[in-house]
Amino acid sequence: MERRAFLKGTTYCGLALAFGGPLMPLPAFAREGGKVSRGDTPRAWEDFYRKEFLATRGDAQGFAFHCSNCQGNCAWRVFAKDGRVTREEQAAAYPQINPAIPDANPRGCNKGIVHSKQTYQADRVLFPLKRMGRRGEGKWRRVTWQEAVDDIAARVVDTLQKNGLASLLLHCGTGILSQGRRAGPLRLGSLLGAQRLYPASAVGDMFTGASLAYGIATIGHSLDAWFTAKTIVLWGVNAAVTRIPDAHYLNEARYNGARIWCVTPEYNATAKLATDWVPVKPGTDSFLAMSLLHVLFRDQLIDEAFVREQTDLPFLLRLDTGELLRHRDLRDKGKDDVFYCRDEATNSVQPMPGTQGHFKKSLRLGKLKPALAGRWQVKGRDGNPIEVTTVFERARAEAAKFPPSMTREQTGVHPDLVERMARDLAKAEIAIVNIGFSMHKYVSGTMTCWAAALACALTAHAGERGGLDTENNWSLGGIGPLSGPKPARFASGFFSEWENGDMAATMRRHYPDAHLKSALGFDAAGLAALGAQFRKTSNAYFGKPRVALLFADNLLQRNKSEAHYRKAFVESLDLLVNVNHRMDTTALWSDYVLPAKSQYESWDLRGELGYHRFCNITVPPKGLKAIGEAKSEWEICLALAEAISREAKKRGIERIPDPDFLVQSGDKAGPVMRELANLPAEFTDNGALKNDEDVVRWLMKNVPAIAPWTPEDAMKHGFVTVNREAGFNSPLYANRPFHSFENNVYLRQPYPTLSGRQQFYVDHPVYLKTGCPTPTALPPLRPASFPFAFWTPHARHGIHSQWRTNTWLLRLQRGEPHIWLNPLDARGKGIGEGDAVRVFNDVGEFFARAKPMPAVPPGAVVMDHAWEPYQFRHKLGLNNAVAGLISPFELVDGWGHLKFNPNWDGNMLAFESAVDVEKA
Amino acid sequence: MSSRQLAMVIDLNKCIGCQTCTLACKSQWTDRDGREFMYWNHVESKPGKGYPRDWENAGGGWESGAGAAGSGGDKLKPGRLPRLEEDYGIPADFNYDAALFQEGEQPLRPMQPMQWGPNWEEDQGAGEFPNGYFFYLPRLCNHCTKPACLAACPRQAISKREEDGIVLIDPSRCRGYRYCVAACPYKKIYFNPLAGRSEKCIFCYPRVEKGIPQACAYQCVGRARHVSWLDDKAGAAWRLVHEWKVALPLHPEHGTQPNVYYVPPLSTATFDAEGKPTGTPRIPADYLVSLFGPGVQAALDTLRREIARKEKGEASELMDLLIAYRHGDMFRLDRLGSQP
Amino acid sequence: MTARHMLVLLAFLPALAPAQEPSTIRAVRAATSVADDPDHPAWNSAPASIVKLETAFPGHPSISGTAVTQNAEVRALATAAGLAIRLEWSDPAADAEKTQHRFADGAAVQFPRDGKAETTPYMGGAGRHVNIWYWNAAKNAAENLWADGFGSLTRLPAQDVRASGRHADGRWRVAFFRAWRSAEPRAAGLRGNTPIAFAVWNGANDERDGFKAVTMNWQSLQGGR
Repeated sequence: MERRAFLKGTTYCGLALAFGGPLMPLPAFAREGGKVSRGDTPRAWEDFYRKEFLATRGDAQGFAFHCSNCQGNCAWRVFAKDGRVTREEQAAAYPQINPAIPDANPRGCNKGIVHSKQTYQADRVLFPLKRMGRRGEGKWRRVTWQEAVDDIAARVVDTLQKNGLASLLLHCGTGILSQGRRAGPLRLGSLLGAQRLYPASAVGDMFTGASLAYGIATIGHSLDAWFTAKTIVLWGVNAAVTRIPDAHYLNEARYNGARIWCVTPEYNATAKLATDWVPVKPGTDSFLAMSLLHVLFRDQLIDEAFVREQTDLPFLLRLDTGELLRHRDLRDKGKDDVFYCRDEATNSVQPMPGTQGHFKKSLRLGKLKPALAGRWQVKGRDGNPIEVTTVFERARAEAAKFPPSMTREQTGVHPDLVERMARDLAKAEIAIVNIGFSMHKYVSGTMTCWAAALACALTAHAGERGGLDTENNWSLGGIGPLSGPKPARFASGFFSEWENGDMAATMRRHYPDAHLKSALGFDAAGLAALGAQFRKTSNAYFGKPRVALLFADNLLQRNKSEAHYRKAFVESLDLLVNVNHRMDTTALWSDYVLPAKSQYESWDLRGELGYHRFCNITVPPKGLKAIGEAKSEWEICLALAEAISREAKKRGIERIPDPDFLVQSGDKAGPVMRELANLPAEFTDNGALKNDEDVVRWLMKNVPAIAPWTPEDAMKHGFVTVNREAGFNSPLYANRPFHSFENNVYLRQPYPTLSGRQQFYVDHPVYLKTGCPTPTALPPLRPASFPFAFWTPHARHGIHSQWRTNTWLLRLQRGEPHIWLNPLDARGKGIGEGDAVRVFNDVGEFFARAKPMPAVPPGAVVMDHAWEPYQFRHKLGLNNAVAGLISPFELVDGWGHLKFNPNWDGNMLAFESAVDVEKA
Repeated sequence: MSSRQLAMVIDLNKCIGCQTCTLACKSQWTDRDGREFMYWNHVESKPGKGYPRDWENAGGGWESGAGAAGSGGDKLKPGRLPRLEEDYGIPADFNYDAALFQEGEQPLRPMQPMQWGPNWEEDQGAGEFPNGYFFYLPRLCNHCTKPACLAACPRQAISKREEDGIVLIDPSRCRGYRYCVAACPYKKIYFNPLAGRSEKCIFCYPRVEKGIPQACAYQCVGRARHVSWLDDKAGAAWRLVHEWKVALPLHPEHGTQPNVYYVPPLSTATFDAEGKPTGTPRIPADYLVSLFGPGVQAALDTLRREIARKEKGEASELMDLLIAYRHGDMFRLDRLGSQP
Repeated sequence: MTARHMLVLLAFLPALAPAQEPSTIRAVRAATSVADDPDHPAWNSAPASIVKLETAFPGHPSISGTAVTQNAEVRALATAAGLAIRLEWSDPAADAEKTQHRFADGAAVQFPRDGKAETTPYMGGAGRHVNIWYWNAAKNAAENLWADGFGSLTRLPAQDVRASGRHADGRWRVAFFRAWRSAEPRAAGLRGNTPIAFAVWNGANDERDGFKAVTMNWQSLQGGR
């Protein structure tokens, strides 16, 4: 039909038919193979998005990682255009170490990927700021770098002069975990003899259960080992949220036939990927652990040869005192650190080789066949018989108290699950038991972790057969001359915070004395006495500082009993300086905030983190423009060193002797000198270390585990691979996952414990008094005065408070803090989705919104942690309702390997408070 | 239909809900120019109303025809347009300056209250403790073989590329009428009020053309996404979809024939009243059928059977394929060498 | 054309009203510069023509519904600089925001490029294109467009049409203005008498694209230069 003919009359009828046209393909716009033909270049418009892509790729490229408080350590490419970062993308270039094990790509998560936004976000500190109003009020004046460092230096020198060297706290927190950027503050503090807190214990990340067993807190595997395991226990570790770059190994292990046991009170992202979820009631994990041991002992799922050689289980202990049988029990002037077994080969009592006091530094038993069970009499040094048995007997008897059918009442876990879990652990060729950072947030965590270690020992899971995993770290020797050129005041993190924050006050308020006494064996006064003893023996507390220079440490966000802690800590300070790239809570309360560079702006290097074997490097994209007046930590420390030197010279001070530390010079010992006037030359090693690039180059040259790689090698893909030397107690093989303790298991080297073995008996009076010389169960400590258990697992959308305020991540949440409540509890309290609520107890309160979650058990208030307090109403955060609490087990100092050091320090206990909640 | 089709398989067992893909996409495409509220790729917790809110009840797709399930009819179902605040959620900005650099007690907050977002129901799911359950569902444009959006556009601004089946909106043709938004049963087309036109996932064609896989897939740290040509018999898409039949399209009943496929989620057993595991997966089978169609049961059975082989120490090609030993092996983009 | 499409068409037909006699819009000479000011007093000197508006024929299966606007008042002014046309119609609410789910009010004036009524007023046809001045309340500005059939609407390179609208007392007044001569070769000439057509979109009714109220046939504009 001729179309034109119907257009003439412009009537509806004609048009109606004519309009058939558009319902058929339009000739003018018909697409042939997706092409538009209208004389245009075919699909020229597609360049629209191609240009956008190229713009994000930019004109310069660098490398970076994002180790602000994070144990991920992931290599990223950073793109920049016109001097501004546009985007980042995982480098995804790690080599596969073994064709039978999935590679580590593409490492990097939701936090790393928003750092290009964080870099320019409006909470960035751009200029040196000086507080004008009251502390925390938020009134600032922009000052010059010169003005800031001069004033700070004057007050530093002042306090060193008037209040002594210990009055200065120069602390680099976990906001920087890399070897490059940490080096500046560590070096400056070391030269000045300043206090610094042990970060791992300050943040509550000590694995004291592992320290008891192995003398080392951080042990385990590179996480590719998960793929090789047949049984994996994820205990208090929400790996799908907190180990995002490695979580794929879990899913891949599941496809590879592994059983994955997830032990956690709430159904979380890791329970979602597990083969078995164990919904343990909060804080009752030690009962579950004891039931596992119960089954292993009961059914003799025990590798006796391993236990005889590698553990202290065959050691004899006295039935009268409960103490281990020692050389001094048998001989006058006998040794304290020689221990015995009952040798089945000779039917006699024999000293065990490899203990701290034994001349033989090997675990090899030779002809000895130590008995595991039995009771005997030995002749004491006074000629009287001593009744003895074995640690094995004692541990077995302890476990016998906790059959799964009985602990079910505490844990809520069906006995069938426990039985199956124990059998899965025993039968697996390779089993890995991961203890998460949540565990030691309970007093009982020490026991749970220790019991889990014992379960691994009974089933011979160590070395290539897996075993306990807290966190593997590499040994990066050679850094000392850079970060610790002089001895300084290395302080217990948890204990310093406890004292500085007067935390005992909120403990006393929240936990009635009788309750503490019955649960822990110590009331508040008893704990205070233990603290006083710890203070005396540990030499790990140096008093309240007067001037605090904090780098990347958000202690006012982190510490419990928030408002109380803040008052106690901040009020006694003459000066609080915060070096930070963003305005966090601690910065908000500081007297000076100095703008630091962030992840993409300075050179950096990180290689100690043992989840994988790659040492990453940060190299800023060429031509990157400065952001405000930010400087690298190294440059800031150098500026401070120069200002301190100027100030000291002005006051006629050349140096200050520090008699607390002696240096040997020839055959004379003299006090360490704190060379104030010469500080810049000392800091830069006479000009060799001027900036962050110099530091990274120094590290690559001087750390043996990085050899033979150079910065130029690292700059090809953003990383290098650490070598065999990186393993602490096993070699790091080029083509196998790393497992701790191969040197102990295969070479029979002693463990760094009193017994030289995996230690499951501690006869320190505190452990004996509390009935915990061997792993046992302890109830949760939360008082009955408030009905809800309160715990705060690690967040998906932040690494502690880092990135917690990131716009792009907050848009993927609900923009402000929410608590999670079981829907029935919420209904019972008249609380609906998104309602404002008040969470409170006798310590304090905070306000948030509610999110009903079927995943959360009844009787619980759960909240992902580390929101900045300023994200809450009245700027009071979730820690405001958490009481101070300290564990008697962790206050022990001066028993074998339990002596303050990086492998033996305690925790601030975070998950033992009870709260109530109401609609606000 | 295009002559070839690039397809994606997302393994819901490997997805950990970390949102790295969401942000990879965001920083690659939607952090600017009026797209701030859009998530061309996002991950939602299921069950739930999802993103945009209640998208599964917002219409679109093809009326079911007389043919086989999933084939669809030839008539579009009506659909509704999601609203910004209530259904997408505003791209909130925050009062950093007032909260942090000015005196006062004002907390850090969105400048306008948030009512919804792409991950609003994170980890909520359904069920009752201890039998609550959730899983993560990453969603993007399905680059359908029979795209409802394409049919709905009166201006023929939407096309499906002959060479790779990528469905694109021509920004120079689109005038923002949004028939496509209503027609897409997955609500994965977004109207950009600033630009006055609709936009959506472009399957990262500018990356793919350079041999770089899609940002969401390549940057998936959970290693949950495979990309290959649907006719590449050595590729994961063909093998998982056609050979092993463990990868299924989402809501096939809409008849658009999606080219993003999902390996359905396994789950731990529910507990009985005594707290004893029952052996029944906690994600109800009928719920999964409602998402992925009737093939889901067989897919889960196959997964369980093959996992059991691995448990016994036997070999399983399917498991090795899903494990993906090398990240690079998950992407087969090469146009020439892909025919076996 | 499929059988289904035919059915859609047939179902639509009975709802349509009979054709109207075309109105004549006389452009009155104005001494002052009116440009695109819809409230300029000079408009009072121009005679108002009422044009009847009907729901446009849905050119695509996606398009459905009944447009709300039933008529518009049209005035035209011929100034020294160019032609100004004002549309005024009743719309209780101004939909000036284009959000994700809302459509903005709009109005358009259409001319056959060749000045001849043989060009179909329904977006033109093959080889006989139309020039459209389109105003949208969200931008409150004009777009200069051309089309030669349904679905073919395209922006012209030269954007030399201005428009501005004001909503008051439940009515929109939108004034369009273009200089007599346009640099755009595909723009309509404004000489002498020319066919002209109008369209109005009510955003609150989800009107956009072909879902609109239109004059069903060419009207006549007289008094162009």
